[in-house]
Amino acid sequence: MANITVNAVEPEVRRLLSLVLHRPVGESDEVSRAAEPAWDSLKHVEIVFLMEDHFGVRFSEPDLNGIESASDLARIVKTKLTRARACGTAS
Amino acid sequence: MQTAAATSLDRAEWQRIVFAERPRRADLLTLPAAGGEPLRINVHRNRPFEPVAACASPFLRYAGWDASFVFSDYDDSLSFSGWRPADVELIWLDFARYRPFDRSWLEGRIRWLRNATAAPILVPAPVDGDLAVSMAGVRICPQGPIQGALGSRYLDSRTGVDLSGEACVETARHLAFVWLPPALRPRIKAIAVDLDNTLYHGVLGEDGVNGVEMTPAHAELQRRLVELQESGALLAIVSKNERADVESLFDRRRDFPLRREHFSAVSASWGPKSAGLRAAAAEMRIALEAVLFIDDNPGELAEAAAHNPGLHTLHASSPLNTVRALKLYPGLNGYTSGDADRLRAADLAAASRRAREQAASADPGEYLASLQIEIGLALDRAEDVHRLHELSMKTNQFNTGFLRLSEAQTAERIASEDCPTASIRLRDRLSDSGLVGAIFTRLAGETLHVEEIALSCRALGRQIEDVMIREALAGIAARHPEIREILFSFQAAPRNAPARQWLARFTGAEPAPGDAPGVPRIRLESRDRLPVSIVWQT
Repeated sequence: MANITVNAVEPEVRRLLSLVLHRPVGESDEVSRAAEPAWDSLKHVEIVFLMEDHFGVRFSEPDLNGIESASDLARIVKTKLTRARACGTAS
Repeated sequence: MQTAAATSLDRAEWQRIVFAERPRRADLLTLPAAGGEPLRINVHRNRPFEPVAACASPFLRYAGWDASFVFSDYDDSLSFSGWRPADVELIWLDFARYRPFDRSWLEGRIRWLRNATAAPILVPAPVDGDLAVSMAGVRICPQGPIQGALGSRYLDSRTGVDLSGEACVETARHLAFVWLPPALRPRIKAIAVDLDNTLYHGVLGEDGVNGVEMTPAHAELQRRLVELQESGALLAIVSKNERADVESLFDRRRDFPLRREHFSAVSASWGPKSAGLRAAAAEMRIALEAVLFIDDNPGELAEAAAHNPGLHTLHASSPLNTVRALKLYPGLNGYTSGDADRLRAADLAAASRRAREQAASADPGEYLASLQIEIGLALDRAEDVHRLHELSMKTNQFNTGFLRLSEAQTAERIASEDCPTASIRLRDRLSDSGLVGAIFTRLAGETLHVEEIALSCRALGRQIEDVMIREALAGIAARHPEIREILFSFQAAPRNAPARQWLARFTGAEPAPGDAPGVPRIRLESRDRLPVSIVWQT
């Protein structure tokens, strides 16, 4: 996903979450681990693998533990993409 | 309900995702997960399998299954508590949790499961796993090729799953494409290929024999097809071209890895490819369900699928994509190549020679004698279990019972004194056909119930079905003097008219579904005097 703009990350995160959670996720829906029964620890791993694969980023262990919502995911992905592009290493 | 043509076109679209060098999770999630034959898989595990299962559905769907997974608790002891029957048992272990690893303990646990169910048992094992369990229906599934391909990307210590996301996807693909099909379905017997822009770049009718281009990628595809032929798959050409041009192409293009002799059937005409495929399958004596058709034109694939239900199709979008698909296509890979596979192509060539000799012979008896036929018979031979299981699963035309026995069920019968099971081998001057017949019976007092006779099509056409079956049954009767009557079960199926006709003639009674026409034991003793040798093997 080398060409995605930073602004497009959040909608893309929501689209991916709707695929993995098997339900629609709207633009303004706040999706969080606490409020989402299906987002258990194994689903968390699945979501992480999906985001990493799709955006070409890699989360650190602290990142994994800090992800609690769709917004967190989008924020971390944006940060990683911005940094990678600054270093010329975006995949 | 979707038509076969539409399904074929859909599958051509899915190929770029399921056969991708690196399948992407987001792409997989967009494919339909449901549909196909229901399949319940029990997962007995001491580590998470969910991240693998989460991406397995699209691959399983492509392979024709609508699978559901039932997970055990995390259980190092493999207690199988709360076990309920399923279609497949999968043992998913982190072997590193057992230090030292006690192989006999694991064998004992697998034996418990084996005794509880006849379903296939799959045990994925790491590259350094010291596993060689030899129990019927138990398959050790090597994870080494996945680990080898991914290298340092195989493991991931961040999540507690141990496997990386990429390794989970590749494991799911292997489960659906390489590990499950050999446990549940017969192997695809033949690959029928288009020529123009599939096996080479160019159009034979326009560019000519010397004008078509053998690119490095097309050469790799041809070499892969040669490998598959050498491992037992039959090859056929189904092309819209002039037959003379096709013959000339393979005569003159010495840079082609594929030679004319690699092909067991050639159908070159301007008619529909669906008809060409039927002709090729008939020439190879196999059902179209056992054929994979490869063509660069999705329209041709759809036409062929529409007229031939059950045909497998593969879109040759590019030669390298086709090479990768052939390494993964469900039904082609992961199978053990047995004698039957190795003998099949030579046996087919011999069948053509037999037909020519028979046509040229004025005396049928003399012709039969000239073949120097030898029939080898054996009872309850444990070494034959896999091939007997294959015959029960694969044969359609000469199959009286359609028991579709799993390998474990076949082994159980061989071990049981109440279920005499005969193996029939056949060879003649022209070829060794190998183990071509299976007879599954059950003793009940003075009656021998013949529950299934399954003969390979390669055994037919020499007018020796009667003598093969009669001698095998006589051998069983000789070991059980209490037998006074032999009853035959018959299960009608769409394509087993040859078996029904044979049974009606042999017993003198027309079988109907569920019927059990019988013959008295004495009939076995009135042998035909055919010029064949009978050899009983121990």
